[in-house]
Amino acid sequence: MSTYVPPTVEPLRFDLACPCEKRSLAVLRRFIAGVAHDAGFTGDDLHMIEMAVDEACANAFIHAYRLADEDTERGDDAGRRRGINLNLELQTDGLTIRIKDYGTVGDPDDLKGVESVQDYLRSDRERYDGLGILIMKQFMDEVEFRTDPDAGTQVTMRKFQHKPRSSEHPDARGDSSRVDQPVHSREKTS
Amino acid sequence: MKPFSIECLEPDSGPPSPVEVRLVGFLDAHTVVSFEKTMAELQERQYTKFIILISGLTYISSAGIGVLMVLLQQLHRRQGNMVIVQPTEKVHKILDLLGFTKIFQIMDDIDTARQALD
Repeated sequence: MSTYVPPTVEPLRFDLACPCEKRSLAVLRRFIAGVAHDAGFTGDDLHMIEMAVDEACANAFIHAYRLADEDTERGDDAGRRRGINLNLELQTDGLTIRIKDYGTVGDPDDLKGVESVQDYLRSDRERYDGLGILIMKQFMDEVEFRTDPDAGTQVTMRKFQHKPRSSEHPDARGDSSRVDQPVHSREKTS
Repeated sequence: MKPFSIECLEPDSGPPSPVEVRLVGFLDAHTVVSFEKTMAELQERQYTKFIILISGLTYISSAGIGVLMVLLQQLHRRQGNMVIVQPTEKVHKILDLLGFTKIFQIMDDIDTARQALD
């Protein structure tokens, strides 16, 4: 008796060139939510994917491209004109999202996010920022940052279907980070 | 997808009575700018008690959470306070997953919010 081996299914890939404008974030969220839904994600997983992608894109706009607000844009004009690239792979076991910017990194010491929500809350802050990377790490199953100071940063995030997670609901006490293998880490959050 | 809008309902008696701020749409890195400006304007008019009604808010990002935290901090410094009212299930879940339901006062209705601010 022969054993049936199903054919290998190639991932479905999408490449999206996104303008470096914060008003595009809403469109990107709708796009990624639609793709994630078609990939089989629902409920909390869907919301988490949407938010993680939003945070990564906003991070690129604000920190890689120094996009403060529409009235006071400054910084990396050449990189900003290239926008960001959003690459999606729908695989049988989940979704891989790559977000690439072409901005330059300023002072690396300025690019530190928070390690936990308690860290975020504990600090005496005038601005509450630094939460975005923590959100990416907590909401996605795998997060990887690769930064080239002259060529930008790529964030790769993965969400698996039915993968058991070590902590399903991170609390205010913080939790362990997901897989994170930075070559050079950009730790600034939106 | 509803566009972002802010509606402020000021009490006839003015401060220190609370002001209602109704948000519709999404609070993300783009829309927080106008939200911050509006909150600053209200504080300049001496309001220190805020009811933030978000039943029409479909999404909040870390930028949105950040400006709410700043607002809370500013109001506390002025012996004021704020209450968030009627978050959608999605927004409430995000706040809960990140631990912010332990930080923000979240109420089911405006009347309860007013009592909490008295």
